[in-house]
Amino acid sequence: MMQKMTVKAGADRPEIRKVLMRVLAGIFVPIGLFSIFLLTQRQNPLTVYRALVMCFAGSKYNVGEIAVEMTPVLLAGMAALIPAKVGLSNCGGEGQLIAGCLTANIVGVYLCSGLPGVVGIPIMLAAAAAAGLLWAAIPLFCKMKLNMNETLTTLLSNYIMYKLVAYMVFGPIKDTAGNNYPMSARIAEQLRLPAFAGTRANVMIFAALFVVVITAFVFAKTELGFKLRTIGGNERAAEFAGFSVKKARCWAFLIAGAIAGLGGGIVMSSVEFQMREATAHDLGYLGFLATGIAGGSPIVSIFTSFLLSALSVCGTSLEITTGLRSSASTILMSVILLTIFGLGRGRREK
Amino acid sequence: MGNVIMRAENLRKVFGDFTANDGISFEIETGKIYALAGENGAGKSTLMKMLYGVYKIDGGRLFLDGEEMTKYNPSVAREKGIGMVFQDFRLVPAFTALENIFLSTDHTGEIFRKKELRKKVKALSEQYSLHVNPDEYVWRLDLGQRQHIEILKVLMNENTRILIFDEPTSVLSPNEIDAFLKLLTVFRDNGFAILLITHKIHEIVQVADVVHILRKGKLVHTFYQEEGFSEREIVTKMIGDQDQVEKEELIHVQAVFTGKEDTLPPDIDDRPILTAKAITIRDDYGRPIIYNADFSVSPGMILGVAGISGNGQRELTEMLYGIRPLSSGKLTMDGEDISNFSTRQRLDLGIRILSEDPIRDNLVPGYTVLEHMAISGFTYKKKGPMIDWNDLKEQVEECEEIKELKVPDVSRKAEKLSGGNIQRMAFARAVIAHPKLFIASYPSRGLDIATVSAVHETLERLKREGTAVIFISEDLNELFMMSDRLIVLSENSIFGSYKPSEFDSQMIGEVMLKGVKE
Repeated sequence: MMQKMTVKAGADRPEIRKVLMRVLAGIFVPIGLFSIFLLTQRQNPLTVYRALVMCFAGSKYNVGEIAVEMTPVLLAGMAALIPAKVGLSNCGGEGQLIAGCLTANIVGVYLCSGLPGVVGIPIMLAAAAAAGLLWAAIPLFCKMKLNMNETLTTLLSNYIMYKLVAYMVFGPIKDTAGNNYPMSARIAEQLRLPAFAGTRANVMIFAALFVVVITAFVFAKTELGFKLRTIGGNERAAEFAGFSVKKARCWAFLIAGAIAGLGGGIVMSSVEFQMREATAHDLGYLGFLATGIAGGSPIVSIFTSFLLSALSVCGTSLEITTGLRSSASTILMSVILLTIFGLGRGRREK
Repeated sequence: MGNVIMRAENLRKVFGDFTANDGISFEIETGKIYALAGENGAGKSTLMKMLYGVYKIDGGRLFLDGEEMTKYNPSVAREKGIGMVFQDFRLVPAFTALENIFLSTDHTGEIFRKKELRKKVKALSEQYSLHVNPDEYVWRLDLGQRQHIEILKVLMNENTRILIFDEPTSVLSPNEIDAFLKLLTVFRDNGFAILLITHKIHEIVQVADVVHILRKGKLVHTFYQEEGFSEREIVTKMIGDQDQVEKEELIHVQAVFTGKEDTLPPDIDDRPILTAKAITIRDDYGRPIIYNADFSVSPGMILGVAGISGNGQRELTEMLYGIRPLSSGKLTMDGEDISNFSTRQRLDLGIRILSEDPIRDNLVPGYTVLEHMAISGFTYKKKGPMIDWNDLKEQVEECEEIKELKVPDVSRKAEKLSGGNIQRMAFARAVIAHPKLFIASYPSRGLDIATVSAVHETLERLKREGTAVIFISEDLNELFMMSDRLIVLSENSIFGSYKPSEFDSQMIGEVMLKGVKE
């Protein structure tokens, strides 16, 4: 009876207040640390932070840009969160998302170019989700049949996807009408999601938010969510209760892949339209970080996704307004991340 | 004549409010084999880890060569000549034996002088006939050879005078065990002191010069070779006889330590609900822990399962419940072959279990008692896709078994409960559904007297209602009091079943030790 109890994220419902404290500390501590960095760069932190805030809320266009970035980040976040709830780790949201993006482009260019948007866009998005699911199925197979560590296989599969995209855009799907640049052809006009006036944002941000809310609801309130949390909380307890642990885990993982893939499809049909070597890079990782920082709470991940997306978007405008390189915002993101992980660790060791 | 190397005075180790070791005193001389015997959980491993400096000593004093150890840790222990051969081998499978040995030597930063080391390893291997090819990769070696590497690692330290073995034979095959015991005597004759932790008594009897018996964290008895000792004496001390059992455990004092009256209909054995034919079950290492054994249990019967712990109790219950595969043989319930049924299917057939460790097998961190009742046990109503928690709460609170067993308030977080309360929760949950077959592993463990009798009454009631109960306990007294039939796990087999008129403590003790049917 002296067994030490470790509380796993899967079972406990994060208490909102604790998570909020974490998020606040995760904002203010890094702001302090980043100020030191800014001072070493001979920048006035106040100017920089004011520029950031101005960017966050400065213009309709900027808000739209944040929404555009946030859509795939939210979905990739769920791709990390859902498997985590059943005790699996999916670091492959990045690759699954890009798989969706690539597939949406291929399907858009080669199959749907003659179709009206109402038909073509759903086909593209469905194909993207299917691609994400299949890309997740490979590490899942390695896990279930070959007992390979899924954290490693999913992470590595991202790099395979990077190379696969490079191969595709340099070869098979290179736009023959282009100037021999390593880019695919663009999807037809009618396959592009219509943007809100004055922005590049579109209705898909609401779809992504809907997916997050549904995820939150399923885990917090439904019988299915209860069973899944049981599996994540104590696998043996779920086995002793007769739950099909393996089956549930497989489905959770595949659905996660599909959601990430969908995110990639949305990126393709709303802003990118064509595939280049680095298209949609880092969105999956941002989503992974956002749920990590949110401590496994889908609702909190909306705020963390917003924050990370805003920093990512505003990095560019920082460069314009203050002369800092845009990579400075990556440093700020890293500081936030390390702070959050530091806080989390400190608490567990108590 | 040996010299005293180590002396322990009143050693004590506490984990939270649990006392794992208390008042332990002994001496260790060179050229002797000391056995430390006790059941699982008696505190053997804790004591070893204290002697090796892994655990801080919470009370008492430890002397090495007459010098009191104040700042004690494993590197001091090694320096003073104490070597520990770990039970869970700490080897890198992708490295060769030689590379693993090099890893463990204390020459940090030194060049890996392969030739020199190989020479030394070969010399040692030959001296003690440890058959290890230094250039073989560890993943290719069997468990016995891996153990030899562990031993070599310890011997490479030239200071080593005391060798500590923690359950060394648990991973070995019978042939390897014989060779290992012989090896121990070779070490002894070479002037090493050996400290052997084990719960396998016949091994002790073969080699030990001194046997310390540990029970509930205390040294309860010491046997010396000169005075002679028998397996039975050791077992009696290990499991404790009636006089020594503490008062709170004397639940129902029985004048004679024999079985109860046989009140069952004479033909009950002919109508079993569950039959196991020629079953073989493998342990976590893939070795058969129960081999080619038979037993059956009938409705309205309590089938007691006796045996020294570690003889397949856990593996048997997990197999019956569908958590562990049946390696060979056939399991039938109501005439249907259920050998390959999933846990879900077995639950649907009315099989329920109380696991030997509800914290490990049932507890979900963060969940309340109510939520644990929803995982299994109760059938809840649903509101659309949601669970109707209010209705479930009413059901649980009105449930007789829950009240009778004093299950704590349903809104409490289960992980915050004491071990006894978690046991209550798990037990109540398993019996609520009026199972057809109930597998109860150590149901009274960690409970107070009142609850223990409630547990016993519940088992009796289930039996009256026609449940077949498989009842596993380490307390012979309790087993004898409750069992209508008794089987014994021993020597990788199942002995029995015996009727109450056929058994007494002496005879069952014998079977537990040697598996002889008399």
